[in-house]
Amino acid sequence: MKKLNIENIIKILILLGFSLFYFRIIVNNEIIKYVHPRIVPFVVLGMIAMVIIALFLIKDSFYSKKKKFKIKNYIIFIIPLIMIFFMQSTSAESTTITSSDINANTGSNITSNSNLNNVSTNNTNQDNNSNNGSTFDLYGGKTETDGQGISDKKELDIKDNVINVNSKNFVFSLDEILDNPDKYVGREIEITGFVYKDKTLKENEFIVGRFIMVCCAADLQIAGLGCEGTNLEDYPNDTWIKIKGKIKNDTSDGTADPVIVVEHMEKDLNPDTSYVYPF
Amino acid sequence: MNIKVEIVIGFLGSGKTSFINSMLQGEEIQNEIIVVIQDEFGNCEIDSDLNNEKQQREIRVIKNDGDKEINADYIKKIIKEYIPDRIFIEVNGMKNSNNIINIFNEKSIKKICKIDDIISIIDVIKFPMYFRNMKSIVSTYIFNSETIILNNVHALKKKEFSRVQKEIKNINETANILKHVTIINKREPKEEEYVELEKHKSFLFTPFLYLGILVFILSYLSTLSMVDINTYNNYLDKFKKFYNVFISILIQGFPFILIGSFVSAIIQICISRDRFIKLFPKNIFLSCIVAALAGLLFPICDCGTIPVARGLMKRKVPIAAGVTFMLAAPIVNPISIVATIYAFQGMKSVVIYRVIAGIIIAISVGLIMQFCTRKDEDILNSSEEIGECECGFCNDNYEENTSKLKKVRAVFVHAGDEFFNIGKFMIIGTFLSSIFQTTVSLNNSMYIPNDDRSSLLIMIGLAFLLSVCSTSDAFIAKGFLKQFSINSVMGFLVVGPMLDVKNTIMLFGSFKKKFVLKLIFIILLVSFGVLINCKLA
Repeated sequence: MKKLNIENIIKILILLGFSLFYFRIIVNNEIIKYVHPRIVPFVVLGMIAMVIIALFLIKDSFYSKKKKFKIKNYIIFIIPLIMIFFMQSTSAESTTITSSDINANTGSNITSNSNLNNVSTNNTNQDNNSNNGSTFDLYGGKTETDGQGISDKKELDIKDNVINVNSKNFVFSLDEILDNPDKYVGREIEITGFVYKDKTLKENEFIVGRFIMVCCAADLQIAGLGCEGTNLEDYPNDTWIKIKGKIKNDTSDGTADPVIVVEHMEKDLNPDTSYVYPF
Repeated sequence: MNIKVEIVIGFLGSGKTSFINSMLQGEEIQNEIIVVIQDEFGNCEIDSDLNNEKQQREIRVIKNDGDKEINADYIKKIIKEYIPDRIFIEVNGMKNSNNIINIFNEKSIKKICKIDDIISIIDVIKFPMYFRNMKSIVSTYIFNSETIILNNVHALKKKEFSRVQKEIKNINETANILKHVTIINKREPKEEEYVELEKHKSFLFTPFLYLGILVFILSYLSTLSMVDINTYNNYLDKFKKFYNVFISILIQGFPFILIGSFVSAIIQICISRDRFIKLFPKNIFLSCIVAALAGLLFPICDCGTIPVARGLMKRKVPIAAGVTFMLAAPIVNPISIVATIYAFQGMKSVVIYRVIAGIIIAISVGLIMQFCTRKDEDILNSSEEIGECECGFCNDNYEENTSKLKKVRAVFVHAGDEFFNIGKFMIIGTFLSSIFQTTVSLNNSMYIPNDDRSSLLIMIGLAFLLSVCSTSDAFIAKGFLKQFSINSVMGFLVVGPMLDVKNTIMLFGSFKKKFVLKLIFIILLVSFGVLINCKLA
């Protein structure tokens, strides 16, 4: 009579469950929503290691020395698995709901994220009510700008005298412009991103930003450039937009901050919403 | 036909034979042919007069005089000869209980008989002495047993008894623990009974509690969705936010824990102890420096270092070196240095200061821990592994020339064990810290002290609560520069990787409580002392 080693089998199921989840998010490339691409090789490695451990455990699982085991230890592993499958199914549902719902859903979702990651003023500021009067010190706004970036060789993507900023060169362009505010004054710029407004900004100001990820979704922050424009009521928070404008230096609070004066602005109907990674 | 085998293990004089006698009188096993194999002789004899009672049963007592080893063939011979229904095997605790148990896992034997129960008999008075001197033997058989009988309980004070009980629980949580009670009765002066100490209510209860909470949350969410879409969305959003943080930390943490587990497993299996000790310089101070710089070679962050440090300490590396490695590795790891350089561009002093302060604190905490801990003090929380391994690699004197495949297999199985050990604490820690990350709100209106000391303390406290991974905390820290002085932000950068919620829970899981408390206290003290005195312009 063969008796199965339940403890081992639970271990195997947990390992396979996690590696299946890893596999799934790697295949649909969902993984970059969770972690920095730099970590992906480690994730693959971890996935393979878990499968191999599970394979080795299979051999042992046909006899059991002990009848009882502590399920308590494994419940803790099962909770995230349950959460994962619950959430995966609900997110699938939300895309199948009517189209009007989608907007609301994704909108609110992003809002919650942006609330979490108030621009580098304060990363954990949930309710966003930062009362200090200073303008936004965006990510990369260095306090000392001695121009010693790590990427001196790269150049901005300039076509027909227009600086082109997209998701690929977003971080670098931002650094470059913020580092050398004087150099780019008066230059035309084209940039895509989402609208970010909050109470510290004036009526006609907003930030065109993107989420930037350093390690994992826990440290998502918004990075972007300040903009000045009109008719902002049409563009609520989190709408993806394309902007064309000129860079000017805003010296209102003593330091020079580059600001885009918007000349043309439209909704980006098919946005590239991917996160950007600083390195 | 299934022959039931009962294995009774205990040291000389712990009361094995008396126990078997009382079992033989039991109602349950009437009308059976029973063989008792005694592997040693104590003061007590099996009551063979039980044979003469009216019941139709037969008891054979076989005394093994020591020149024959109990093995599969021996058991088979006995089975052939007597055709028993039940076999009692009395084993001296000094013998390796794994060997006996493994006999019954062999295929040919498994067909005809199976282990019904493994019982250890422990004399609680002698237990502390045995446990101190022959720890591995004692824990092996406690770990293997399904029932544990405590003898001589009445002779021990309550406090000491509960300590013994705790010690046993530590090794084997699932066993039934019974204590032997002599009931003084006038008619029969020596009626004995074995009373179960504690029913395993908690064994069933806790998982149900967890499941209950989970079901409650799910049903709460689903009822909300029925009642009011808006509130539901609100809660769902909060939950999603939490979920995103939680899952993403897990996704990126698990691979690092696995890497740490593999390193620790390889240390344990592929490098023999003598060779390993040679790797570390004799001088404790030098070995600390080596340990601190070793972090440069391992690109693992704070979750991964704990299994490695555990593996190091199991191999009896000096505590100082182990602790130093554990604390310094997350700070000197290349990824986090690059991240710090990037976040604080143009402020090179921050990077240099962070690394140097990290190393200094790590080394001094390591050295203090070394002197604070007695040599024989046991700092590892060794609840699970002892006795579990039959791989032969865990003993200090294993043979070098075992086959490669076996080694690889052992590495993987050990890494898996380590992963499950540490992983559960990591999940709890992540759970807590993601709750903090999603709920703790820092308003700018928050009271910000001008005083250096208190703002440093606030930063350290925040680092503890938020428990951000050491590779990304530089970016978060930069955000604080607006409100806090650079000196106190340093506290966030230096103490954060050494000590946070996630880390602490993992530490409590893998080291002894006393050790962890001392460690935390010393880390706080030393780092506060170092950071307050270093002024960064």
